Amino acid sequence: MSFTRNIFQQSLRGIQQLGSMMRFMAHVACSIPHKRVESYQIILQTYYIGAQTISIIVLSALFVGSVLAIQGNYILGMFAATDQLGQFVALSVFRELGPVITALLFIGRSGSTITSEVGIMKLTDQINALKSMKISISRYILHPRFISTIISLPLLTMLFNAFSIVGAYMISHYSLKLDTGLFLISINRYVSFWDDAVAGLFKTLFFSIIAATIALYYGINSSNSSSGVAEASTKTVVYSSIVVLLFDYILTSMLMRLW
Amino acid sequence: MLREKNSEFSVGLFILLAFFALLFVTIQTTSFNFKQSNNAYQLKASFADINGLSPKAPVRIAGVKIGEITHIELNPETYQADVTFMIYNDSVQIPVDSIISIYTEGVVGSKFASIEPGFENDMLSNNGTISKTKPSYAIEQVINEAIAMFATKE
Repeated sequence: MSFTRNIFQQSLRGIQQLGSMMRFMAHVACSIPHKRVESYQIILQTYYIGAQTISIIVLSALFVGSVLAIQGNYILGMFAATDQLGQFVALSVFRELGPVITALLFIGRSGSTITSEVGIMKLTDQINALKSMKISISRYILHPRFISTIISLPLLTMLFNAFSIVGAYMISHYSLKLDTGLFLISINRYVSFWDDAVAGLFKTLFFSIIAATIALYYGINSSNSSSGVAEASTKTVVYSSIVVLLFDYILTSMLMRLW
Repeated sequence: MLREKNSEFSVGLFILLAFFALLFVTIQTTSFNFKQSNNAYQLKASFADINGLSPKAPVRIAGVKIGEITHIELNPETYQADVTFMIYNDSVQIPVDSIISIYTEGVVGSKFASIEPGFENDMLSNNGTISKTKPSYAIEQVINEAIAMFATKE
C-alpha cells in the first residue's frame, strides 16, 4: 500500500517539477527582450561553454566519421556500392548523428558545468548577495548562459559534421584505399544543403533550448549542500540526455514529412 | 505557496498531456501521405499471380507514381488475387480498356503495378474494375522457360 502511494506521490512530484521547469523556461526566455543584454558575459560564457568544447567535439567527430567509413564500407561492400560511401557517411551524420552526438557531448561537458557553477554560486550565497544588491539574476547569470548555449550548440554541430567527413575521408583514403574522388562526388551529388544539413541544424536549435533550460533549472534549484550540487548535475546530464533523444524521435518523424 | 504549487502542477500536467498527444500523432501519422487528398478514388483488378506485390507498393502510369496498392486478398471462387488500389487524385482518369500489369524495379527490386492507358472514351469510376490484367513473371519462371527453350534447340 505504502509502495503504490509512494509511486503515486513521486509521479505527482515529477509532474509538478515539469510544470515548474516550463515556467522557469518561459520566464527566462520571455524576459530576454526586457533586460539589457550583458554582451561581455555572453562572450565570456560562449568561450567557456562553446569554445572550450571544440577539442572534444573535433576528436569525437573524427572517430565517429572513421567508424562510419569502416562500417559503411562493409555494408555497402555487400552490394558492391562502396562508391556511395561519402553519401552514406554524410547523410547519416548530417541528418542524425551530428545533432544528437554533439548535443549529448555538450550536455556531458557544458550542461553539467553550468549546473554545478550555478549550484555552487547558490551554495556560497553569491546569488543571495546579488539579490540583496537588487542586481537581476536573470540578466547576469541566466541570460548569458541561455543565449550562449543557443549560439554555441549549432556551431559545434557544424564542426562535428565537417570533421566527421574529414575522418571518413582520411580512413577511406589511407586505410580502405577507396577512390576519394568518387567519395566527394557522391556527397556533392546526393546530399542537399537545405534538406539534410539545415534540417539537422533545425533539430539542434531545439536541443540547445532543452539543454540550457534543464541545466539552469537544476542549478538554480539545487539544495544547499555539496551533495545537493552533485545530485543536481547528475540529474541535468540524465534528464537532458533522455529528453534530447525523445525530442529527436519526435522532430525526425515530423521532419520526415517535409523531406 | 500552495497556490503556486497547484499552478505548477497543472502546467506540468498540461505539458505532459500535450507531449503524449504529440507522440501519439507522430506515431499514428508516420504512414500519412500528403499526396492523398479528398478526391482519391479506389479501383480493383484481379491477377493470376501477384508474386510479391504488397500493400503500399506504387501504382504507376508511364513511370509516374499516381497511386498505391491498398489491399490484397485471395478470391476463393476464382482462385485469383483481388487487388484494390487507390489513385491519389481524380484528375487522373483511367480508360475502361486499360491494361494493368506487375513489374519489378530493376532485376531484384520491389514490385509495382503499372497501368497502360487504353483508348476508350469511357473512364473508370470509383470502385471500378480494370478487367485486362497481365500477371507478373517470376524470375525463376523466366529462367525455366529459357532453359527449356535452349534444351529444345539442341
